Amino acid sequence: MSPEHSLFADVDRLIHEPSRAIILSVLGAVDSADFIYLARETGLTRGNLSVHLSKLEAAGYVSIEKTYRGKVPLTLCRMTPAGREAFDAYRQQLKSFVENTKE
Amino acid sequence: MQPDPVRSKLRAIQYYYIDGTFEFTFGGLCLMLTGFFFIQATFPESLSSSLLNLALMVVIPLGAILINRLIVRFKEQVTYPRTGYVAYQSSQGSQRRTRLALKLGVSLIVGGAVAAYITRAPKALDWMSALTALAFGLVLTFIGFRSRLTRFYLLGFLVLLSGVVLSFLGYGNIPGLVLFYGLTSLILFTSGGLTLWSYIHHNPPSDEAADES
Repeated sequence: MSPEHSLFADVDRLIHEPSRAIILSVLGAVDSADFIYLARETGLTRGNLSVHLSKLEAAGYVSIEKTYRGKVPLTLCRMTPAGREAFDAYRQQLKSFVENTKE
Repeated sequence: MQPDPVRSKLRAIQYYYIDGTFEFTFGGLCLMLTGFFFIQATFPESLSSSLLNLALMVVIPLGAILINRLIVRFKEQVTYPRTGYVAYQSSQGSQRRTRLALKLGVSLIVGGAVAAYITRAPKALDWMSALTALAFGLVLTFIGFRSRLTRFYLLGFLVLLSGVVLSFLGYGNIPGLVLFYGLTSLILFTSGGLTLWSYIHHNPPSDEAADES
């Protein structure tokens, strides 16, 4: 396999799924956000968002905190330092791949 | 939709201004300043004026805190249940110190320049409305540039225009400032009201429970 292709083959498969990449992109721009904001920004259904968040949480890329704001339940999602590092590495890999395969 | 960190950041900035509460806060502060300068203009150089001025020096910061609390409460009741809650990243360490030094530097330069200008040419007081409008206009234009929200460019222009027109019409010094702050608060409240109306109209309350993950 050519070096530029092996670069792409090494990408983090967990992040290399459009919905999860979008979730990380949205969470990377803020300190934390709740479930409603994430659903609105990503355009995902609540069910889909929940599934993807669980996978990202299991990988240690996102932390989910269930709390209350007044009497209203709040699910706060935050990108962990590991998640930030993995997402930055993923972006760097994609960037390198695009640059190396330019016509 | 594509993962785009730059766009996500911009959308997060825009979200801060989504419900018009920024204009209500800024407008509220301008309204308090209207009151402050109105008292100065109505009772010039009297004991009661000095006492009222002193009282207002306390009332204005307290009012700012109260307005801030009201905004937080409003967001909790209206904005977060509709479109969600966001906590913003705070700048840290050297980044924070640089920003603080920059703000302090700009304030000192602008404040010093205005003070020097007025001391050397007391007639410059007649242009206080225009000078204040220029500062406010620049702040609003910067917000427009940072958030890419066109309404802030328009607000900056309107505020600048009102200050310049007042100065040209001869409303300088304290009476001019009363009118300027009054007009500015009116402009900001109108913008805030329209933005809030549009926000509520486009984002009906969600009938689903907030917590579903």
